[in-house]
Amino acid sequence: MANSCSRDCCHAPLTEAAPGGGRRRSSPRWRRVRCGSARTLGRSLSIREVDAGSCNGCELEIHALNNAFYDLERFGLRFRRLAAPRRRADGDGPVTKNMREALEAHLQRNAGTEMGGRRRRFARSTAASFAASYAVTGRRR
Amino acid sequence: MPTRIAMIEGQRVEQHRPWPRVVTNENGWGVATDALAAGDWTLLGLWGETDAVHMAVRDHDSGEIAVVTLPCPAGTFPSVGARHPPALRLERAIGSLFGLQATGSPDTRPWLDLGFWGVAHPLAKQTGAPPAPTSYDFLPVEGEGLHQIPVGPVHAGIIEPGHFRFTANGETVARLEQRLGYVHKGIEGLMAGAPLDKAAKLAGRTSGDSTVAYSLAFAHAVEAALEIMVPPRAIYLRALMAELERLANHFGDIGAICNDASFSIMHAQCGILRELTLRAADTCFGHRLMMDGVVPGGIARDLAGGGTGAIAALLAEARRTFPKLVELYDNTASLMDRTATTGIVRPELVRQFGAGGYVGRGSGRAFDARKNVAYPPYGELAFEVAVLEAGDVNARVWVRVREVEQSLGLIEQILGRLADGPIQAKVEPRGEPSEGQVREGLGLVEAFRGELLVWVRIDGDRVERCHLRDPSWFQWPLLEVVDRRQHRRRLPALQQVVQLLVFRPRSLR
Repeated sequence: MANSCSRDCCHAPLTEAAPGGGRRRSSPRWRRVRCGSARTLGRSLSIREVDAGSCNGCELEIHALNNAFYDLERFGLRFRRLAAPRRRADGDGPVTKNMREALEAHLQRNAGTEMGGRRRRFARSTAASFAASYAVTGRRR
Repeated sequence: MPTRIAMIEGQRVEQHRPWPRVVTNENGWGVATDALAAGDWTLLGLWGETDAVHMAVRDHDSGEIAVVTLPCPAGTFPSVGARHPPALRLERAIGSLFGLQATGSPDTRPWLDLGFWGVAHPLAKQTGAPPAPTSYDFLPVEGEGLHQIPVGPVHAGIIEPGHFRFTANGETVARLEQRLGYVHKGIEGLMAGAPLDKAAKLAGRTSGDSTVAYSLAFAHAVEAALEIMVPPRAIYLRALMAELERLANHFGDIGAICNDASFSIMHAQCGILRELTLRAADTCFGHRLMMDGVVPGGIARDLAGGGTGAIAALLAEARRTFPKLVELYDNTASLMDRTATTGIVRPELVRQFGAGGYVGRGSGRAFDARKNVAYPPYGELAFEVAVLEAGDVNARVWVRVREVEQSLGLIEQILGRLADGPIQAKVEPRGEPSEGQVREGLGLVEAFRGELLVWVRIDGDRVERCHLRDPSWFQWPLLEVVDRRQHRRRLPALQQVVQLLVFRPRSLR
């Protein structure tokens, strides 16, 4: 049964090519970024994501990065679970005061973990709409 | 014969719409508590203000909805939770946020306030100094050979925070207690005094997976308060957004539940359907989650040019693949072994707590705000509400499967009835604008997780007070009493019992 069903559901790969085709790849800036990241990060990157006050929209879209269309792991990028070794952590959205201590403790336990990432600008901008609240820390750590 | 709700003594508030609000005394509050404890009414919400507490209730038989208010000048009110346990956490939240104490409550520990805010009772008229740090007393468990397993707030995987305290003897869990509120952002505090457009944005950012439902419930409350007539095209497009959101979440969650039961092909295939739904939403409304699409008065963006085609393609693909996935789910014995008879929630508890969505309908509670409140346009659309009795994970999956099928039909009907016209009404009070006139409204909307309540009081063009009650408030407590006998050998990890396989509820904001 599973076989027949999976055959029915199977089709040509849905996975899409990475954004920005040949033109961008040949640009000097792309080469600089690529070489820099290869030097500091190597060929793979483990990311540990902690929800410290997001609306959960971020989590949904991070999950989506692993679906058949985007398949982030083929680029050596992997969102890791707790027990796995990791090199980078990314917080989501504004950081609530209730989560701050837990987040800091989590970072300390994973000494050497680098914080931040591409989504930092988004985190800062959403943090701005919640910054006035008694329950949200004013700055990201 | 006047119904029991109409018999609550007190002053009817004229500017509260669409359901009545009565300002009562302790006597009337007691009568309402009696009706809740007797099971005649369901508690829809219980929230505070600086000097009053409100409860929203629904009569089982007549379906009437009302808000009962008790002024509490002395800072106390008779506990509802003492006799009706679903109110307990809501009362504790009122205590933490407003400093109003529920007298006679068996549980006076703080809720949401974990001691990090640097202020006590942040929404009270007079905020207090931060309380001295104390340890939180988890409920005592007695017995031999018990040990505690603390889990969270930071979890494995990309999920929301929450703390779970398991007390276990070996693999037998004697008690599970939750401590939530880690992502409490004080949204209701930020809404106080905010202009309507800013408040609408905050409402839409309360929960990303239900952003359409939150925006819709807020819009309903504002429109009720200001007596705004929403144009028909906007009403239908709102329903289209709501059904797309429901589809996307059900697809994602059905896959995730199977994944937690170690059956990943369903996860991958459902992930494709979810992605297609989000892309269709993006094509139609310019945002994958349709955030800020619904605004008070109508919708922000009309259906884009290629929208109808994108939805037709989505419907065709879902109708083609989803039945096969359902068949696969139904015919995989190893998967069934993990979902059937797992995580049984007893029907009487679901009724008592008024748990909504698939949690309620999987345990025999036939309530769906789209049907029972029948807010437009659902009164004009044909759909069925799936109700199952078994109360296990399998029943909840099947409720979702049926809801996917109904949503596909609803979307088709919506597109068929979509007429041209304006999409936005002017957001201003009907009639002569008078200075300082306060208006109040209540919105009740069926989010994918259950019914969502928003209550708002508007002063001029600003929100004076707004309360948003997520369906999870009445689902989380049930997780503590879920039948755990079956879990031991069937589930990969304790945490997945909690977070994923059983309900997939929401962290409390």
